[in-house]
Amino acid sequence: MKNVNRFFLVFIVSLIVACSHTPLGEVEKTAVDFSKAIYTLKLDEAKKYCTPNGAKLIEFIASNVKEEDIDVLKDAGDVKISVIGSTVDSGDSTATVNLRISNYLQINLMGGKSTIEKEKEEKVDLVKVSDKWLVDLHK
Amino acid sequence: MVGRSAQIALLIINLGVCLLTLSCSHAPFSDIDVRLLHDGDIILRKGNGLISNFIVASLKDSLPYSHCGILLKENKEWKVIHSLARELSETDGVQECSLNDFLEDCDDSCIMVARCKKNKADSIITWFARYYLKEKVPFDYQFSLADSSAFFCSELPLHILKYHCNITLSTKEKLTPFSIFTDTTYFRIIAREH
Repeated sequence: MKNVNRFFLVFIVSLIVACSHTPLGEVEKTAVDFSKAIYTLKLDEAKKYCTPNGAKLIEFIASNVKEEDIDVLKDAGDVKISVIGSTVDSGDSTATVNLRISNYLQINLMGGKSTIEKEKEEKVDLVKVSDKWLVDLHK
Repeated sequence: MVGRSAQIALLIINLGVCLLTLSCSHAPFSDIDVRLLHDGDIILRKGNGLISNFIVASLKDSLPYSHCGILLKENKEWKVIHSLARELSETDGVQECSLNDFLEDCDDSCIMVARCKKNKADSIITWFARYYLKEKVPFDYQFSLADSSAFFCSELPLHILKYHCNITLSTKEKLTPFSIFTDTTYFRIIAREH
């Protein structure tokens, strides 16, 4: 009986691990991790999830982040990010993940004050580069 | 013999039409008649990416635009003179690109073209846009209208209008929103798509 339980435990763990390694699992994880990094102002970390072009765009966000934005973020509590839906194209080279983002920092890119906002939906495009899914950020 | 020549001619015409349709389908400005455009028109767009979304959210404007530039025709081709940060393009500050490049990443063709009503404003705006392009004015990271040593995107037309056309467009907001270009006292909307 003990062996049977152990077998089922190993089976379930394997199933979870296998599922998280499907293309859909990978793209969703990358999109969520990227967005979490953006909305917690861990912008260097966010760059790691992006294509080189996308990383350059993150630098523009970084150039607009002010000390007071970090204070606003500290008072806000945790950002919540959940996946609404995702698709991987048939060629397995591009993907899109739709996210629901709650209690997030709306970074003001025009010199104004950043604010904490309730909820929004956001689309994250991804592209496969050398077997790795990267966020394909646009202007 | 004549019938065969006619068939070949028809085939060539069909092929030409197909190629034309294909090339036109890549033009993001397809729904707006470029024949309506004029030198000195102000063109506004919204990009389809995170940066554009952040800019729109930052401005809290009634219209969802994230960038603007000045239209001018050079060698029969429409160009846009605009100001972008170095992180967003290969050049820092005032620069020139083709109209198609300007509209490349547009969100659902979110575009507007406004024309200043003032007499001769078209040639003044065009002349000074070229002047600031030649001067290589850098991007204004301070987003300050008070300083003309650097321009953010809407600062370029706003500065030209204020100091060279005597039109001061001001609002209560710290940052002038893009909807200011819909003020019918000074502008006529030439095209709008969204």
